[in-house]
Amino acid sequence: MSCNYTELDAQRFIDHTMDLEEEILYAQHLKDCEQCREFVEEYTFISKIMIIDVQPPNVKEKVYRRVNRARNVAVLLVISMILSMALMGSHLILQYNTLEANQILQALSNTDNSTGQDSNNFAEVKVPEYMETSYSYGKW
Amino acid sequence: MSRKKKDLFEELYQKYSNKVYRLIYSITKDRDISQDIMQEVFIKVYKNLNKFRGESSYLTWISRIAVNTTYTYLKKSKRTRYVEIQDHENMFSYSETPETSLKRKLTNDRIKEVLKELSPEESLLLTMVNDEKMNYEDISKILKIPVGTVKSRVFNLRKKLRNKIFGGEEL
Repeated sequence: MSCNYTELDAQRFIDHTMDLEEEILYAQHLKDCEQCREFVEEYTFISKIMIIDVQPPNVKEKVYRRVNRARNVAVLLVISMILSMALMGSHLILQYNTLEANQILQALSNTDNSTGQDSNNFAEVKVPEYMETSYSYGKW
Repeated sequence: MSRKKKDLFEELYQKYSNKVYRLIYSITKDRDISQDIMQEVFIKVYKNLNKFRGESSYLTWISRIAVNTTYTYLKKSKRTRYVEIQDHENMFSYSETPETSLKRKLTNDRIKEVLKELSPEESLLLTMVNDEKMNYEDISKILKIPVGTVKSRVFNLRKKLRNKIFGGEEL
């Protein structure tokens, strides 16, 4: 006996995706149609095959360890960045001070020792602002 | 780790780790690889918990991460087929009625053969539909394909299985 229902209808029936009226009609039809009954039975069987029946491993602690390790590495990176910046800063200050000292030494070495007069090179020396006190050179 | 974040993570892990593992396993068919991938997935989940916008359920979101991570892993390792063929005796089960019991005797070996032949995509789809009882909308969001496509793929997959198990079609 042929009918208008298809395999798709059998699947929709077992998935309960038919609307209520359609489902009732189809259920009535199943009483008379051997072909559709077979479809429903076979698709019901197929829909119950469980492909995987395995217990999952517990990876939660590993996840925590990995997350903590990543965080610790990030913290260490930040600390090392701060330290290297501080080191670089102190190096620059030291370099600046050395430069100033060299300029002063150079100015002193330009003093004419034979006459006892300086060659006025001090005027060309840039004195850092913090050294310009009331008793600094030139204001005496 | 903030307390709130850890609590939420614990809850999600408790609720969904089984499902996530089965999804991954359905694609890889390898316990060790599945374990590694599962670890990666939950690290991503933990790191991105703050970014979850609530546009889908947590399960859909985590499943999407799991599927993407698994495919990326397979692509990287150039694995296109299963690396470990499991003993299918312990791999599938179903609740039995007298009718199915009879059919089981007739088709048990056949089912084993058919399941072995499923592609990773088919295996994943069957797991989502049968094992996890996910609805088509959720599957559509996880696989990023339209709902209609999910329906037609499920229909075709079931038809293929039916033909192979009951119809005696060549494997």
